[in-house]
Amino acid sequence: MILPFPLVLPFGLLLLALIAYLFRRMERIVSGLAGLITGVLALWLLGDASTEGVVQILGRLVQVDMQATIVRFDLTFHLTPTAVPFLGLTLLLTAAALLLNGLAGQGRSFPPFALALACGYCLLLLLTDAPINPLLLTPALLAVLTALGVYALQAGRLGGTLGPLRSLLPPLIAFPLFILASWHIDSLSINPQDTLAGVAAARFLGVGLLLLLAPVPLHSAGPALAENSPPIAVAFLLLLYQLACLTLLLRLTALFPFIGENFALSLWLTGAGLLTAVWGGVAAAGSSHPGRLWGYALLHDWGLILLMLAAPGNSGAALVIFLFGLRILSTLASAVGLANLRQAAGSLEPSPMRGIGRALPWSTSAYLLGGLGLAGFPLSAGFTGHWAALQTVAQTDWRVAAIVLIASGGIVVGFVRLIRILYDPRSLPTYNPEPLPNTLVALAAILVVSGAALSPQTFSGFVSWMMMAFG
Amino acid sequence: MISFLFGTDFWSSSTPLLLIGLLAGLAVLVWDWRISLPATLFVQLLIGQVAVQRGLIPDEWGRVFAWVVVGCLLILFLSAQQSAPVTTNGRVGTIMFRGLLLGLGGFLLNSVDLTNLLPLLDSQMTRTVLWLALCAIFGISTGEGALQNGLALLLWLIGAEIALLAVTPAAVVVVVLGAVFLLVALACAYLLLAENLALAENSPPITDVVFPADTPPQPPLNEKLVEWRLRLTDLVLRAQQGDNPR
Repeated sequence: MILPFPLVLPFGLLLLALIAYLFRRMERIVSGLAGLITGVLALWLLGDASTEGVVQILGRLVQVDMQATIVRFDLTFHLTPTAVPFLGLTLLLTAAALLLNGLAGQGRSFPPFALALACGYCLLLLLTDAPINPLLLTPALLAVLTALGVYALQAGRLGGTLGPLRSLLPPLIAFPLFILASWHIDSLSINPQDTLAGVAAARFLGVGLLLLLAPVPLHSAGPALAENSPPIAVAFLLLLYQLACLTLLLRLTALFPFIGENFALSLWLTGAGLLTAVWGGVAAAGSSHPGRLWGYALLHDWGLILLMLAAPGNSGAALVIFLFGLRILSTLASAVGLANLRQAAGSLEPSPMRGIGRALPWSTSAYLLGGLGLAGFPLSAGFTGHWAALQTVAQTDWRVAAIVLIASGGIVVGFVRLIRILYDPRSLPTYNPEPLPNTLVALAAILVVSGAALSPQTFSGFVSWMMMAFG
Repeated sequence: MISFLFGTDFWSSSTPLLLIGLLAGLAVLVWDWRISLPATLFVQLLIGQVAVQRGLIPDEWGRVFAWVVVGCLLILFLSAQQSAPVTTNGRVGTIMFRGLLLGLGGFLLNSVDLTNLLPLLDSQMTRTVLWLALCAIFGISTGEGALQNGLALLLWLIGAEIALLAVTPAAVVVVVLGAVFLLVALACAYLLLAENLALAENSPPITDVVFPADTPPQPPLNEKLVEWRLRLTDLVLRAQQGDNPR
């Protein structure tokens, strides 16, 4: 039996989602198992075995046609070599989120929706042809996926709906601009001398990309989600969405060089990135809510990535990928810690968390180390990336680098204040000791982020691998 | 009169566009779903018909989107019914003040040269679509609740539907747009239920994703196994006793 890969992967994930939904009352067991299966799938895809397409399921050898092309409703799905790293990363992120959910439950709705979302993102990556350019259709599909993500972010809670609601806005507002740009691009292909069409397309795409990337002032979903929603769900959805946006931006600017010629995208990205990084730092300095502080640290880090997107050439793209790789580690580590703290305290409000660090030292350390990594604090995972980015920025204008550095100081101030709350010696310890599995996972997160901090050169393989995917 | 209303002259005049603009403004200014929901429905019906009459979109697509919007508004209506009383948190200013702001926005929109901004749409239609977009952004920025935001997003999508279907007459765009409409309405309806804190205590809505409140703490696996064994033993005993236990 030969199975076509573009059919096997999405249907497999959807089937898993259905099973996870049917057995949702056993959320943690199902989530753990689904995480294992997704992880194995990711490793198989990234390994050499996938090129032959042979897979062993329950002792039977099954042949998967990796080169198969599926055409449905004028949409063509096919696995291209450039899509493999992104597919692998998407599946690995899904596996990590599901496995972590097995330890600290994020709500019964999380496993099925996480798998359905992973299926959607995989379909996005497998889409190679459509009636309009697939890249220009991507934001509309992102809007669909963001609307699905609302359920995982709300996670059955009552109240605190602002974050999920606002998360809908950037893709919904941006996607019509991409489809309008496609009309101008078609005109341009008929008449390459039509400069007006080029300018109009560049403007639509430039504004659309800026809206999709959600810099300040479109950032409000991030901190609101971090304040109320389950941390692992937030980390998972945020990373997948931002990975899709970064991929889209790098591919579109490579495919349509007229964007840079007719729209000052670099200038806009520099301004938006600087504003985002500064706002993240300033707001973090005044925040004592663990979730909100995490949200602002994420925002600051995202601002630096946007700033690096404006850097010209391959070195800028490589630095963006490096920063994003470190962001994944720091975000997941802090999400693990925060999820454990939330589970123990019942909420992320600062008052019940007073002194919790003495009862849950490993989870608290994972949260702090991951959070400080997002600010580029020395000896944290983000340090090397932030340092390299600041050096690159300083080569152009040292004042911008200085402003970003001062803003990252705001995040450190926020975390120092939070450390005083979490390790408050005056509060009585009212929490049970940290459960062993949670301790082990927090410890593993600490080891991974420390490892990335001490030997960042291990990321060079990841960066060159991803760079190859961008062509 | 009736022949005028259903004739081509009426739809190619500026009267229906003016009506659409007024209804869209009403939908975001009045924070009462009993007015906003029908106003949004009439915006879709009117602008769909205008676009069909002006040859921007095929008749069948106009009808498809009319039904899609009816479906979306029904979804929101059901949630609004369940989550009564309607939340009024985050109200920005009085209706007069909001009207003044929206009017100012309309004045600015009218004073800007919008020639060739949206391909294939004439100047009047471009202004109408952009007015819908302005109303949507105004609704999003002044409304804090899921209902206001949901209606504003629907207005945004109605404007986008006309602009996109005129330039990209592809079935895939219709399907994706329809999916976005319905999923946004579903998401907002879900959040509308979730934002009413009193609902879980009074009458929890029948939904499985997931109310009321958080997942209850699950008993350890060994306790569950013991429970399942007891149930199984009970079932076996019943089976042995048959239908008429002594």
